[in-house]
Amino acid sequence: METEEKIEQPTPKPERKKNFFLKHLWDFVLLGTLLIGTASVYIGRAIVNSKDSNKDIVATVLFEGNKMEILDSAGKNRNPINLADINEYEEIEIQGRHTTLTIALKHNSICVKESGCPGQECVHEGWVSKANHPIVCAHNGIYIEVETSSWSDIIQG
Amino acid sequence: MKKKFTVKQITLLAMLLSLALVLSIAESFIPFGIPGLKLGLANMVILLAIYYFGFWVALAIDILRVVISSIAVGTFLAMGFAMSMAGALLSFFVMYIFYRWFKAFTPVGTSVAGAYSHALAQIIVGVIYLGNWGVFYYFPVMAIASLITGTFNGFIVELILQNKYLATAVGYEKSKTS
Repeated sequence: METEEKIEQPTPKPERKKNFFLKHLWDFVLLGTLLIGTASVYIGRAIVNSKDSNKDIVATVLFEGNKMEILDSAGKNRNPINLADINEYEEIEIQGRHTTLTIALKHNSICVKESGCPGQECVHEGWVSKANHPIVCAHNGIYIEVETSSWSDIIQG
Repeated sequence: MKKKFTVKQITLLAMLLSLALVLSIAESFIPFGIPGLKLGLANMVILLAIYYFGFWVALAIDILRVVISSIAVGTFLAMGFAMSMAGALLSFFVMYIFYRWFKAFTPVGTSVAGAYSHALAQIIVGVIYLGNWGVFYYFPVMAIASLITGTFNGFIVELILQNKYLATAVGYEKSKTS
């Protein structure tokens, strides 16, 4: 009897391997559905955005959903910033919820150069020069919207 | 909660909480360049706690983990705290629902669902806080990353649940999962 048991014991291993896909069938169905769904949204958006590349862009700095007031040397509000008009590199400082942010501007590009936030995700985002790519500093409640000039013209009338 | 915990269970519970804490603090130092994108290693511990100890204990570990780790990292009651708390809670409830009522899913599916809802909750908090739907720009990348990490974590949890020594120490019946 003992010898028979010893021979039978190793069999469960291959069975388990066989059932691996069956066991995880629903997991893979869920994974596949979520993956295909999300990827199609991502690819669809990339196709739409590719039409807007190489166009002049406008950046709007929002603080907790409201347009921020950014004054130029003449005391005028320059927000939204028309990045097509900027020919020289310049830096502006804005006050977020917790810390200040240094925003750098150049022709058709914008980036957050420095921020006091712990994650530094906004700084890691780097230079943004294409429309529909926002820069977010969640810690400071800052959201920089980047759109094509024509699009913001339509909004502003 | 009616049943009394054995010393072994209490010890394991404390170990799970400290493991969750260490993992969430450690992964907060790994930058990915995208807000809220993390490996979700602590989620693995929460999933394990759901299988081992059930609803209340896992919920307690989850909340304590977020609160204590945010105090340690220095983001307590700040934006990051709201995001991780929302993510932790939503993913916990989704994982529990999958564990309790969707028996067709193994820990892998449960973990994937939890990770995906974690990403979703963080984006929703971002939308509310910043008052702009444009935050959804980050969602596809975060979601796809969460699916990868979720699958990875799920398989690890499945392997841990197969450990007989740990299961007997916790008093965990394997029949619950299969």
